[in-house]
Parts: sequence; C-alpha cells; structure tokens
Amino acid sequence: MARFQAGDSDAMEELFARFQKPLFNFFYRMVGRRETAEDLVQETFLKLCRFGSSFRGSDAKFSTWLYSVAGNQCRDYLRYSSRRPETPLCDLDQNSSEDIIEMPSTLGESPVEEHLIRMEVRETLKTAIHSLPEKERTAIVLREYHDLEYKEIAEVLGCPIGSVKVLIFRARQRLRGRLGDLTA
Amino acid sequence: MRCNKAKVMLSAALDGELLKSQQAALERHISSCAACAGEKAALSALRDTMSLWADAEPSTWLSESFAYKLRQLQGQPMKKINRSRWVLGTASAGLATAMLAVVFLLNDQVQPPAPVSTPEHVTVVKTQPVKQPAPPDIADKVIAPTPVPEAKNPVAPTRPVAVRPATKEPVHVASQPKKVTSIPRSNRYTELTPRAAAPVSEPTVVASIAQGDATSSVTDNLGEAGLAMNETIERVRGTLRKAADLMVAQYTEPIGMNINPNGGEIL
Repeated sequence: MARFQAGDSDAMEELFARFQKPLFNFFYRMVGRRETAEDLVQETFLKLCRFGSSFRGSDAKFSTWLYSVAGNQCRDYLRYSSRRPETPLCDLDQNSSEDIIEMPSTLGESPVEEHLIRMEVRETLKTAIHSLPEKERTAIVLREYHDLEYKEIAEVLGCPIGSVKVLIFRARQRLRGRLGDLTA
Repeated sequence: MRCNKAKVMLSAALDGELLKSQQAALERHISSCAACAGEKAALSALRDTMSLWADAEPSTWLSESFAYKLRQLQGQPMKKINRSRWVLGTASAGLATAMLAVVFLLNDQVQPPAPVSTPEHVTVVKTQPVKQPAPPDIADKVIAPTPVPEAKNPVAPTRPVAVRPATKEPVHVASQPKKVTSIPRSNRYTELTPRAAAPVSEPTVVASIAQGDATSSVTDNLGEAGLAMNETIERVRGTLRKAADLMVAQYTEPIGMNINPNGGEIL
C-alpha cells in the first residue's frame, strides 16, 4: 500500500491479487450473490485507488482498513437492496459447483445421497447466516471465516470490543438454534 | 461465576480472546457446571459446521474487469506520471498554432484580400487587372481607337469606365442608374460578375453597394484620374509629334519639302 501511495501503479494489482478472494468471499457470505459480490469487490478496490491516500500505515493494519471499507460498502448495499424487495437478499446459487461443502464421507451411503445432503447443508447454512442481523452477520463472518481478532472487528464495525464479544455470542446462539440438527 | 456470564466467556474463549485469569476462572466453572460444559461442546460443533462452507473462487471476469478499470483510472492525468506528457502536448499544440499563423500570414501577403460579402452591404475591391466586358450603354461611348484583347493586354488603354463624356458622370459598374446607389440584393452578385472580367490597369472599385453612397466619390475620383491621365498621354503624344516634325523640317528644309514622316499634316 505504501508503494501504491508512492505512485507505484503495479502495487494496486498486487494488492488486488492478494485480497480479491478473501474480499469476494466476505461479500458473498454477506449478500449471498456471486455477481453482486464481484461488483462490490471491484467497487472496493476502485475506491482504494481513488482514496488510498487516506490510509495511514502507522494507525492500522491494511487488511483491517480494507475490511472497514468493505464493510461500509456491504452496509450501503444491504440498505439499498432492502428498499428494493424485488431483488432477494439471499439468492442462493443452488447449482453452483464452486461452493464446496466439505462433508464427511460417512454422511451418505451413496454418492447421490451424499450430494443431496451436501446441498441441503449448504442451503441451511447459507440461510442461517443470511438470517442474522447485519452487525452480527458481519462480526461472525469476519471471525469465523477471516480470522480477525475482536479488536480488528471492533475497528471494522466501529464499536467497542465488548460489543463485538456480545455480537458474536448472540450470532452463535441464533445459528445454534437454526442449525440444531446439523450441529448435532 | 454465573452461567450467563460463563456462556459469553465461553464464546470468547473459543476465539482465544480471554485473559489468562479469565480463562482460569472459566475452567473452574465449567468443571463444576455440566450445562456450561455442554455449551462448550455445542460451540465447538457449531464451529465445525460453519467451517464446512469453504471459500469460493471468484470468476476470471473479476480480475480482468478490474485490470481494465485500473488502466482507465491510471490513464487520467496524474502529477507524477503524466507531467511530461502534459508538457509535450502543450508544446506541440503551441508549435502547431504558430505554424498555422505563419501560413495564414504568408497567404495574406501573397494573395490580395478576398472580396467579402455581407448580407447588407458589399464592397469589393480588386487590386489586379480585372477583365470586364463593357456594358452596352458604356461601350457605345468608348472612344478608344483599337479594341485590345483582354488576355493579351491587361493594361488596356481604354476602359469603359475611363472613357466618359465630359459630364463626369459617376462611375458605376453595372447597368444601373448613373449614381451608385444601393443595389437590390437580388442583383448584387450578378452585377459583380461582369465587372470581374474587365481589364484595368489600376486598382478599381469593382462594386460599391453601400446604402449611404460612401464609395461613390471614390469611384468619381478614380474616373477623373483616368481621364486626366489620358489627356496627359495625348498631350505628350502631340508634343512628341511636333518635335519629330520639327526635326524633319530642319533636315529637309533646303529641299523645300516639308514632309511629315507620319503622314499627317505638316505642323
């Protein structure tokens, strides 16, 4: 990022190559649509290109700052899409083969049955996560899938660490209620 | 420690966010509380379930599209990168403008100014000899001895404009009333065309179509000048003839013959 701020145009391409996948998965788990997630990734990096000078390396990690920008983008999108009910908030790609659900081989006796179980688990998991409130969803996704610490999640959400602890606890309680059979 | 608080601490403990002292207290509680122990196991299972949803790969379109947009963004003028381009661009634009100005200036010097016509009034001035067929009403009054082909003798001694009756009528260039007045718009350009063909040896006002007759006096002056010049030429010619005759007479007088070598009367 420092190289980009110094004028190195290749640095942004390196940043993109490094962070496009985690950012894409963050958006995908938040909004539920691949196309929307890709658009949001692009908008986030383009915002970086325009306003990257505001990042100060001494104050925070770049990844935390990036997720802050992404979180704002996601929040804006979710608020915008909630006003337009014709676009479902969770448009699950039911036939997507890229959403890999690693299943224990003991779940199904036949490959077809195993495939069906895999699909059902994926659908249930997605639905459960997408049913969470926005802040809880953001907190649990950043914690479980991006290994951010509570302090970093607090920076992304703009709230105290204690609030993050409570948000994650509540999200887990809700998910346990929705995924009861699966967790068992 | 109460179970409500222990459950929240269990969630943080799962993420490794507890201090050592807090972790120890929680362990002491779990060891004595089956419900919280069950809660700890359920949280672990939840984590395992959520990990089943692995990361997906974005499409190749994403990287290609971003690369394209990044190039577009970088193509915008930036202080560090494009300064030299800006300087070069400005210099080349200035040089091109200067060259165009030089070309236009040279053109103006080589060629006479083109006639300018406006919808309201037209003043056409030509500095070159212009061929103009004599209008019928003026041609009758031409006293020039020999008609001169226009192409061969641009400096024709006779001009319909120059040869005028003594009334000194104002010169006008078309079959119009003798005073130059405003010509109806429909006739302006047709009137200009025949004037353009007349051979003249001096700058001529080809057409003057001003509402206030501002240029009619100019036409008059030029016509009078032409007349005066003609008269001067005639006088000089006459003087030369006289001189020639005198010379002839001087050399032929003893014989007693006064012969005008020109065949004219003896002066």
